[in-house]
Amino acid sequence: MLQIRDLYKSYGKTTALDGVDLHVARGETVVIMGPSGCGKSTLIRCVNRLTEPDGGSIILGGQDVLALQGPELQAFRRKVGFVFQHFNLIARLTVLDNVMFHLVLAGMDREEARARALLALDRVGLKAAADRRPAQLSGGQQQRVGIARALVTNPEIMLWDEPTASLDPILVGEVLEVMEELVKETGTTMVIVTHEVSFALRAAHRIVFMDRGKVVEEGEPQEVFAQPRSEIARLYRKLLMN
Amino acid sequence: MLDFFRDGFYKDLALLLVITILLGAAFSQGIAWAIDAYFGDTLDQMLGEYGEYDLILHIREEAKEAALRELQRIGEQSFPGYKLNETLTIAGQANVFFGLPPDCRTREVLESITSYFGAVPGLNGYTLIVQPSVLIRGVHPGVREELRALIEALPGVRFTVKDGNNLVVLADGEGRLGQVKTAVEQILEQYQILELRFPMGFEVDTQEVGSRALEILRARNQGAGSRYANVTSAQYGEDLDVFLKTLVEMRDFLGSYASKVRITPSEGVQLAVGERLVLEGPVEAGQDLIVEVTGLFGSLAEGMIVQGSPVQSTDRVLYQGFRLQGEGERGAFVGEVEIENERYRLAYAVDESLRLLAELEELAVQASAAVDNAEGVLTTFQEALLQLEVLQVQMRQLNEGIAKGDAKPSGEQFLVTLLLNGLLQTLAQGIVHSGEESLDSLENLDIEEMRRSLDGISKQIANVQQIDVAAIMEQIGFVRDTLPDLSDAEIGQSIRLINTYLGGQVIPGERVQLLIQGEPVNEKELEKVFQAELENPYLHTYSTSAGMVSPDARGEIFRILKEVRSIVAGLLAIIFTMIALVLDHATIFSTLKHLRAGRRAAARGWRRLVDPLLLLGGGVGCTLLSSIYHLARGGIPLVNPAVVAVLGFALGVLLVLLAERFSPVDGMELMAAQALGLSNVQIMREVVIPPSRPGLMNMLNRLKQQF
Ligand SMILES: Nc1ncnc2c1ncn2[C@@H]1O[C@H](COP(=O)(O)OP(=O)(O)O)[C@@H](O)[C@H]1O
Ligand SMILES: [Mg+2]
Repeated sequence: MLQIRDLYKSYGKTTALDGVDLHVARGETVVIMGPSGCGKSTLIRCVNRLTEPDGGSIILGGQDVLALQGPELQAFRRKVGFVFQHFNLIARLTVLDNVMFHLVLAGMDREEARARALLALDRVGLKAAADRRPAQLSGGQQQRVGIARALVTNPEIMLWDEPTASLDPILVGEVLEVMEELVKETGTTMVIVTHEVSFALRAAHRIVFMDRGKVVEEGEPQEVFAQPRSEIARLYRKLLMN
Repeated sequence: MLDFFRDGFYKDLALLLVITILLGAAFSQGIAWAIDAYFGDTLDQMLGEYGEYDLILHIREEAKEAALRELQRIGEQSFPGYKLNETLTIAGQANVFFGLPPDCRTREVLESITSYFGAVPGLNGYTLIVQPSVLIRGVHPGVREELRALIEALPGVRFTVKDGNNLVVLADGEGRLGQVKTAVEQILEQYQILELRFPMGFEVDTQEVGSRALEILRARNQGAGSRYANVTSAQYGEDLDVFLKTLVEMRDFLGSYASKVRITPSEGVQLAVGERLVLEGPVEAGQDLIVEVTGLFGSLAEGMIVQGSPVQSTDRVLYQGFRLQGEGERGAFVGEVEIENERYRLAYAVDESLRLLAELEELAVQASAAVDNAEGVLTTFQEALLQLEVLQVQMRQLNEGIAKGDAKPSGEQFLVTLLLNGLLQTLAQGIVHSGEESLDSLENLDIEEMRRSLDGISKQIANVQQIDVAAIMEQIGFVRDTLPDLSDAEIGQSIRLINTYLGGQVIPGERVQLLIQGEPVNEKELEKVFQAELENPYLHTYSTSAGMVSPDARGEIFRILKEVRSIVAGLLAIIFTMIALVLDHATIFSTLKHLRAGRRAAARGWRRLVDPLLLLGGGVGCTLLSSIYHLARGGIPLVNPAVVAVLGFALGVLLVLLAERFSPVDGMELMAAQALGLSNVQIMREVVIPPSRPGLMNMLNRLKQQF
């Protein structure tokens, strides 16, 4: 489904990605873990070209992602669901509009878009909040809207960039619940950046550890936590023990 | 970078730019126009619209109505299609604007204003304001025709009009005024009037001196191709002559008005003109009385008071005169000084006549009363005579009766008769002294004649009474009040001043004027040459121009107004551009900057200068400002199109540098929009612009915004 090869990205003197290789199979859920600043966000943003890599290649669903331009790139992005750490909702739009507006802008009939948006909101348990504005919601609710927005296009792949990292600990649960449910019920390919070790253990097919722009270790959750080979993996295991 | 616009936003941007430019031009020009219109209207009310009227007729206020009627008549008769407007009345003078129909705006008409309008009641003169024109003041009559021919041959000149010493040059159109003015100035520059002035008292044959001076000039300037001519004009100095004559009259008047000072020097005393004497005698309070000797006539001398006032008297007053030494020191006795205060005498005479008039009036009233009285007496007298006659008849009858014995008179009757007889006789004696037959002579008195002569007297008195003595008195009183309230010292001062003026070199006597065309000459250098060659060390040379292009006040005001309008429009264009940049374009540029930041490292150092974003910003600023400035017809002095373009560019660059400060973009929303597969134009329309500052872009965007 997704093949990333030898991906490079640097911001001036900072090297964010230093030759990353990553393969994700269709329907697979891959969790990426690594210390802050190691390039996780950069990596998944490169996948839908929110960030332009300096070198390497990205093939998604047989498409050379880095060759896409203009409308093709936009069409491609619509097949990729992206959930942000900070939700990134459009503040001035209602919850419903936040979930449907890109459908309409992509050419879908307003009524259909609305129906699908309500369905998506229902899935994340926020149908009742359709007419509210993001600022009137809790962080957990906002992130669930963010998830609904990503879901509503029926994406081929979903990219999650630390979806719970900016939530109050008591709100993390509701989001993880939704995530786990999605992973289990949709079978959509997912690449999830998160520090939630127990979630990874429960939901991931594979865990990829990154450090300083490189993939340092990968494997099935049970396996990598049982016998961590890298410094990073050991660190996460410690986290799991506690 | 520019590919950001490729998917459609460029259309929005182009529309925005066009609308911004049109709106900016309309706004800038609108406000400037409003200012222009406001001041223009105010001016128009005062001066008429530019070119609407051709002359202002100055008319005495009280004759205004009659003048306007006459002007209408003249207009209808000679200038059908004329315009008439009465504007401000200032200081008793009404200013009437008269506009000629276009086909009457000819040299012939404009030079014959007096013959057309001379009969307008109360006309005090006129001012030509025919437009568009260039006014040349003080054109020397000796060059006028020559200048006219040259100027009328200039392109853009319709014709010229002589207006007194001025020459009005009419241009084909307002637009050609500048060109005509420059050309006229160039012509005038080729001319110079060199004036040779001789002091008062020199009899100069201007023709002869003129031709000699020309020879000198020609000799000095051989082959330079300059032209010289004697253009001495009597007319030119006329005003000055009149002025001088007036001054002399004034001096004589003042002299006769001053107190007469006659000095009789004592034996052996020699006085000199200009010497000063202190006088001792009756003096008005204040300063010492000091006289200056102004003339010597044999043993007598005449003087003039230069300080202090003599006592007010109608008689001659005698003083003792002492030499004045240094600072008010009294020196030796020099003789007796007699002063007659003419001014006081005049005032006294006036006062006396005033009193006389008052008495005359009183007298007339009394005389009239006396005549009325006399007439009454006469009437009574005539009635009395009539009764006497009746009585006489009765008495005669009575006497006759008594004599005949018909009727025996009673004792009473007899007594009465007797008494009356006596009385009548006494009465008659009182009028004529002719003893017997007195009553007859009484009757012979011509009462009617007496009445007629009384009537005559009465009429004369009435005539006297009809004389408006009060009015005469008022007038005389007025004369008295307006008698110069000058002291002798002041009169003395004025006379001395006039004398120095007349006697000195300030006012020239004869003059010779030479026209020089071509190479200008240095008049100061020539002065010495002429002084030597014409053997007159007192002559002076002056150089003047043959005419001065003077700013026509009205045209000037309008020009300034236009300039102000252009400056205001220009400034508004700049302000509007800045507002548009900040409100609208800052959002675009901060979005572009944000998007770029995620792609590659920001350029540093000199590369920033060729940063396409800065160039784009500069281009937008330049386009906006140049177009708005141009369309709004902005015109700030020293700001040419290149400066405008550079300024616009600089504003644009500055905007790009500060874009986030003016209009920060929410990077998260932007990123979400990208991730959701929105096209750039959709990102702008739906995500970036709606929450941006409420500018024109924001407003226009609402038409396209779907959410
Ligand atoms: N837009 C950017 N400009 C410059 N440096 C960046 C930018 N985004 C990320 N970086 C740097 O790249 C490195 C990787 O960042 P990131 O991918 O956000 O790490 P992570 O998501 O793993 O915490 C960090 O050192 C970070 O400082
Ligand atoms: Mg991150």
